[in-house]
Amino acid sequence: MNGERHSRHHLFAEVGSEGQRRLARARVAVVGCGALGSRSAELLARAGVGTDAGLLRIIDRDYVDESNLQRQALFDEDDARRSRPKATAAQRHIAAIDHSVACTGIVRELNAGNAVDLLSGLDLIIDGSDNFRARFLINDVSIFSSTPWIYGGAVASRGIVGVFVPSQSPCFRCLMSELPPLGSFDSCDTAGIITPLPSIVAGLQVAAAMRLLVSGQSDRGLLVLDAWSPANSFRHLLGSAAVDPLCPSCALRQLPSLVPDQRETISLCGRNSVQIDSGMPVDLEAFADRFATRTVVHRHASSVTAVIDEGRLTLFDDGRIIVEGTTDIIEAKTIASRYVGA
Amino acid sequence: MIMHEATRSSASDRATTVTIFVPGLLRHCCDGASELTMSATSVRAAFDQLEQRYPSLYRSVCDETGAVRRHVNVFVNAFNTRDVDGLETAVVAGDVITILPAVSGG
Repeated sequence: MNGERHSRHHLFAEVGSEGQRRLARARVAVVGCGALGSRSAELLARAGVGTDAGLLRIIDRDYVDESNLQRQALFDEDDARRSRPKATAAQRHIAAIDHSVACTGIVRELNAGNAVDLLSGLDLIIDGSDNFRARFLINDVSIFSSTPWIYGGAVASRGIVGVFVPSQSPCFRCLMSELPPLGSFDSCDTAGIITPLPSIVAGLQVAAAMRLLVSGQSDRGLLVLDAWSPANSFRHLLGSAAVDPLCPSCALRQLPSLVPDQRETISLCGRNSVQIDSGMPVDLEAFADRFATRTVVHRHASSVTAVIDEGRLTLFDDGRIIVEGTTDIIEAKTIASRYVGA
Repeated sequence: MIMHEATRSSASDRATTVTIFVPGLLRHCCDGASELTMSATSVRAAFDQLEQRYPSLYRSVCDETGAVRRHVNVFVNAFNTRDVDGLETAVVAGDVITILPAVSGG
């Protein structure tokens, strides 16, 4: 059956029957199963990844809600009604697309304590996450285990894709050695996102993934695009050719993101709130300006509070975030990630 | 236009018109403009004008010491200025300077 199913790959000379066998044996993880991750997972499954001795592992901490259905593949209204974990829902739908894909959904938050285990024994990691902390974690696991990974970002109408191959190219941290201050950058929950963008970005990620898995080839640099601006639709920007000699990840091999996180995330008793100590620099002014055009914002000397759909979000200048409206730590982390990228 | 690096490094001092491509994230700092035109012979000269005309945009790209922030990359055409001469990278007429902060969402 799979010979017929993937016949168009057999006809495509650069893949062919040998390339298809390599895809079938490939062991790939998708970290994050939101807009990018769900589409990547679907495309990888349809491409035949993990259909013969390979695997497709999907890791996500969140559950499906109605607002996801505008842009996230694999999920439907029943998943949202039942609040199914995204990893579980994705596994179910992939089984319906191709039962021969060895797909496992893992409902976990990737962190320093479990990342090496969850991302072990792989040929490739696909980034479907929505925050920089997860990407730094993937980057360090990639170096630790010599596993290539493919970065993808998508917000509003803008996307970015980059392939990182340990020992062959500078790493993600060489390109962006510091986390941008919290509140200073857009997310899908602050700037929105157009429906086709995740499909474009994930499509480019999976095309790069197939090329890497089939031929071992990868492109240097970053592909950036703006799907709303035809004049600037695609640009190929060359990343640095040389490793940053002070990079704590690939040059010094300190792998800082794999050091267990000592910061506390606690549910605040009796307040229906969760406090997250992000440990990240903060730009309160940018955070306030970003929210001021669309919601009520309270500015104070050392904090800014914004009213959000889920309750209230307060960002402090010492890196703490208080999410009001929930006592669920995973939900609070998801909200913080959505709004400020923590 | 992509120039050979040797040609770029020896570009003349004559000011030329270059374009700065502003990412969507920072367009609120420059009245929504996606592109800005500057007359400059180096990235630094272009950014000096940026500081005068759009100080909040400049501050988002460069820190208080004038260095490019570590979460931002600056390209001239396809080349990362870190691979050339940093802010001293020469520019010639028609060059595009791209400010690229990392994209988070997904």
